[in-house]
Amino acid sequence: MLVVGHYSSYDRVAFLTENQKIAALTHFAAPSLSVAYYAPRILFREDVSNPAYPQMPEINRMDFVYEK
Amino acid sequence: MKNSAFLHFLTLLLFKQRSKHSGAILISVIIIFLLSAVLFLSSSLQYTLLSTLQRQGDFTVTRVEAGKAANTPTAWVDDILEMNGVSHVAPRVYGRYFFTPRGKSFLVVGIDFFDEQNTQALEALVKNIDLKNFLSRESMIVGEGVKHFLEAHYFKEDFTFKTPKGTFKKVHIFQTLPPEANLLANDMIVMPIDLAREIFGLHENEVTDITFNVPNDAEWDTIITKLHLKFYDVRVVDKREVKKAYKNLYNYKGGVFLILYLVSIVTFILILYQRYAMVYSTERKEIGILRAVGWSIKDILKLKFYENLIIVLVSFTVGVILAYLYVFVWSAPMLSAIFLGSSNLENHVSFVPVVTFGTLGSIFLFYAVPFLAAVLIPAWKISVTPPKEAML
Amino acid sequence: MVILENISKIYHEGTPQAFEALRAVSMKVNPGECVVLSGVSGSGKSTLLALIAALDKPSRGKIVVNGELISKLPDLHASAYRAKTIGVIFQHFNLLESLSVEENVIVPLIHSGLHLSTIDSMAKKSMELAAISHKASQEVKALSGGEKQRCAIARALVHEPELILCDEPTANLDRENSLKFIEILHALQDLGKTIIVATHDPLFEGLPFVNRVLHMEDGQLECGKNE
Repeated sequence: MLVVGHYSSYDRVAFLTENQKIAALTHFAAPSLSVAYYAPRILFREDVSNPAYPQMPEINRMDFVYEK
Repeated sequence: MKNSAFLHFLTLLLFKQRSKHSGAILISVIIIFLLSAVLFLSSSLQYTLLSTLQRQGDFTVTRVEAGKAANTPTAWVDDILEMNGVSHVAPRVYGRYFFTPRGKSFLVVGIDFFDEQNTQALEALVKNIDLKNFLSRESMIVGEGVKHFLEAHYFKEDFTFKTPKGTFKKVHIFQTLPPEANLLANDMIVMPIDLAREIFGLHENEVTDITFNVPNDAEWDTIITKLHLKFYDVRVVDKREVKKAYKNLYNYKGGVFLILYLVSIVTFILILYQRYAMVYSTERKEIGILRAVGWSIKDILKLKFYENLIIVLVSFTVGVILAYLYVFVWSAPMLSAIFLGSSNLENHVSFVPVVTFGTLGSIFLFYAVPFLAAVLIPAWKISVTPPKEAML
Repeated sequence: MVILENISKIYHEGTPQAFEALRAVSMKVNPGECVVLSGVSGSGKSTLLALIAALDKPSRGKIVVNGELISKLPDLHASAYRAKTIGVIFQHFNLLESLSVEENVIVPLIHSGLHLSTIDSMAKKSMELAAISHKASQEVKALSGGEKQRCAIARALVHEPELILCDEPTANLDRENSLKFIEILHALQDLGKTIIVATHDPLFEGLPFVNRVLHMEDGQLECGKNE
């Protein structure tokens, strides 16, 4: 009953609105992941960087160590 | 009632043999809890992110130099505006600023507060903000994660950025973003666009990238082609790729849990096997006795089915309720760190309750069917043995 | 009431380990009779009783109880036969250890379609007959051998069967409890029950209420005294 009550009474609109306001202001809708940005994610894939994080260096490469 | 004697006997047996069932119930609850918690968390995150994705532009274009993202000229804004079917062109200035001593980073986003739309958006986001005061000096509004991090490193009122020119820029911490926005803005710093440009070394005629909308989906591929024809050094990311990227973000984390789930399933099978082997003789004798006093095979299977169905239902309900409370009431203490990461700034996100009944139903079937089969098949096997043999 | 014609039982038939437990056994038990099957261990008495109780099927021959052919009954009918017509008392009691005396006694009536209150009153009556009412709520595992046997008797009588089968009922009892059991059997015969007892206990020899003693040896029936 507690669970049903919580689920039905939760104010989803208010919660989503705050995130939508941030997205409206910054034009950014990407989640704030607490990840190390140089960490390789997928092994053995010669691919572009994650399109959700275009500033991130290429995955599974050591360029940031060897360049310059 | 005709079946009240059977119900009475069923509940009696369940109660009297509760210790026999406790191991299976415990493992079942753990498996259901893990699966449901992961499910609830990823559904909630996807629901929130996909709803906010609507506010982001359909396309993002960046200039590339030798395959790497480079600063984008603001002149492209006009060129893009000229294209048919394009609307809401918005240049973005942002970057990741690394706090070198601790290896943590912040996402600095520059906003043009001379644009009335942006000031209105800020006023809607941060209640009762004194905009005049905010803009009168070099100030920033930070996410909760940034606030806590800076406070822990004794940056209570201001933070000093180091610019590419080698100069220092002291910026006042004006206010904190609401905690409900932590999913997007935990590590975010919002500041005036010129200040952001200075920190990242962007010229007046440069931006990081440009977003825009193309309301007609059918035009999307055409627009991409036009962009590539117009600019030789452009990289175009459309919302479809971002949506796919969001789903892929959880893949490896899903993989961790798949391994966890497999381990639990193997433990579960071992427990069932052990139970089967250890109590086989007891179970066999009990079924033999029931057969000897006049119970048919159908009666035995009915008893075993309902007995274990109750165990399945109880385990499932308890597992799902615990998972719900863990994720949506207690905000998934350790699990959220795994999903959202814990390498950069600590993030305390609360999750919108999202329950996909279809998937819950799948988990139930995925768990209930093998469990019941594991119990009923041996029971049937013993039931068809002549009772005299079974009682030996 | 019980007619056996040329009953044979062969275990592992068709294999090198084939063993003939019963060979062409024929016998007849009239209603209200008390018949004792005596013989050493392995003579086939328990096997014969198991076939009469439809706990197993004969390899050859037929068994008729109350006009019903029970040697080839499908499972549902065999179960109904065991639930309504006969009551079986086993050598090792065969009780559900985790349940109490009363809970064990009501087991045969769970699928009878009777109301719970009716079942309870029948159980009480049966426990009184078996002189185990005072231990109704006690768990079976805490009972002595004699008390367990009386619980098994109460369970065998709860559905008021006409035929009672006892397989080595006194094998795990001391003399005192064995004599008590024999007294209960006598009382049951006075109630008009048909009783067949398979035993090698000498206490059953020369009992006045026993109509016949049939000797079994090597799976075959021999004529005995009281015939």
